[in-house]
Amino acid sequence: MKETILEIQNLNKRYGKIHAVNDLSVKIKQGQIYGILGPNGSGKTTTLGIILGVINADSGSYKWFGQTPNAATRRKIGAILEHPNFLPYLSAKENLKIICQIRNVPYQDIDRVLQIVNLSSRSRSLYKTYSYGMKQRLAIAAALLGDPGVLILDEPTNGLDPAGIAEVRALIRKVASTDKTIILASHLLDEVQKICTHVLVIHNGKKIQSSTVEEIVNNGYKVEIEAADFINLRKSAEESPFIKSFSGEGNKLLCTLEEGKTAEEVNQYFFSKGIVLKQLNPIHQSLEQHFLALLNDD
Amino acid sequence: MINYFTIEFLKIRTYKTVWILLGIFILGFALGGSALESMLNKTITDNTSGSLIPLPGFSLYLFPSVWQNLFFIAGFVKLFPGFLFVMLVTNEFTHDTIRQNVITGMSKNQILNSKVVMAISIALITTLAVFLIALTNGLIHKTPEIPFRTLFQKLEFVPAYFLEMMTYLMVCLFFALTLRKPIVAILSMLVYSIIAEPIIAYKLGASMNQFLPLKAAANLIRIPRTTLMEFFGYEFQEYVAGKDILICLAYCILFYFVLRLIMKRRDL
Repeated sequence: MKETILEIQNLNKRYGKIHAVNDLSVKIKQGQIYGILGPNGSGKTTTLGIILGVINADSGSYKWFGQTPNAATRRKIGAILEHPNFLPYLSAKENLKIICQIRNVPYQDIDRVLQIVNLSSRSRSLYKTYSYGMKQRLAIAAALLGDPGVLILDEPTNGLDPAGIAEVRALIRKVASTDKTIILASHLLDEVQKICTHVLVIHNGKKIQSSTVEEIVNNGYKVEIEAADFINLRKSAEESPFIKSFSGEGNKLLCTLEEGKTAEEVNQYFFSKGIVLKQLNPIHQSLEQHFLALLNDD
Repeated sequence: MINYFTIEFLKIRTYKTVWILLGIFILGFALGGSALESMLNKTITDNTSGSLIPLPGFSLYLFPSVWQNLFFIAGFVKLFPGFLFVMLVTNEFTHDTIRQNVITGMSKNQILNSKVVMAISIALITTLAVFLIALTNGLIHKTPEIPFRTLFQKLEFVPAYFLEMMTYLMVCLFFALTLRKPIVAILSMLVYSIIAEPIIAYKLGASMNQFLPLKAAANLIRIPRTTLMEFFGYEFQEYVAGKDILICLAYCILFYFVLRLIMKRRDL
């Protein structure tokens, strides 16, 4: 049993009439790469702000590593919230020294993290001379200082060019392969699908789904089937209790299944009706399609 | 404590503006004193040239009155280190580094403590600078008639100035941490110290206005004895009153705990 890293219980935060975080509960275990998905303004950053100690929740609670959160528990977490925050008139290295001092990490670690994000050659330049992509990378370097077991990355590829995005993505994968727990907030679904193991979808501050990415992607609710006897295939599909809808294309049918049904069950059903399927393809649904469908339902 | 100091020191160590401003302040003070002295002497001689009562020229720099003289003047220019302090604190809101420091692993109390440590450092540096300027000038102007022991008299004005500076910086910190925006905080501080508090002080009258924070800070070191002012029949207080010390200490503690409460409640 993996250790629970973060447990959020019934968290609430209101800004006037806006219910930014609405009764949110979630449990994140060690080694999980947890994607938090949601459109802009869905409460992702507010939620992360609360669990990082900068925003006070109205009600509800959260625990880090099973403990009541305090400054010391935060030192075990590397985090980026919204945009990179550094003093512009100091060099990158001087800025990182401040973070070392707060986290009680030796200054030698600075060279290591700068190397990871590819900024070693610019470590002595003033922060204000950095491009946005470099700032974002420096923020990631800062989060990596002291090699924390938990990383929280809020839109880490925001404002980066395609090369920068690819670089940061590779970086996250590299870190993820070391059994760290990562919480990644993003509205780039492709990014989450490629990197994350788990996903939490929030909309208007409410949790609308939390599951593994595999469950969403593999448990595609669609299958494509083909049989020699197309007329009978159609008829049986119509009579089926678990095929919600279908559409025909040539000799093939694209069926949308009820939740929880598998390709195996489809095969079994048609066989019991005396139809031998020539082809049975589960159609993998992308996270994006699923996400959009979820938002539409909500 | 040392860690707070290190964190704050790292933030300004390579920030040239701070050192330039601090340098200008100290240098200006060192030179300004002499300029003021000669200016006052010139005014006196000009105005009394036709007078029947001869007024002697005066020196700012004779032991032991040099302590009260210089620390009294320093009381007027504490605005500059105050601005510097407000600028440094509000800068951290502009660049969201206070937020980042909390995320990184400081508690909100630790943030406040680190700013108080910065205030203590600024108060110590300015006190030390004025002390050294006073000491050097005192030694330069020392004549054989002035006994050496006078050097150690009235040194109470040194810690008194530190407390004055500290009280002032705590008021600055209050403005900086509650208003957060550099311009807003600095302007409010200016309006409060130059316009608002003096008006309130005037309305309250001398018996009550000694309890106002900036008035209390200024009261620690009263106007020094000068022949000119003596001539006008002014009453001098050439010591630091225990009552003023208590009021200032009370304000420092009060501001600290009020800020703790405000920091705890507000989102960053």
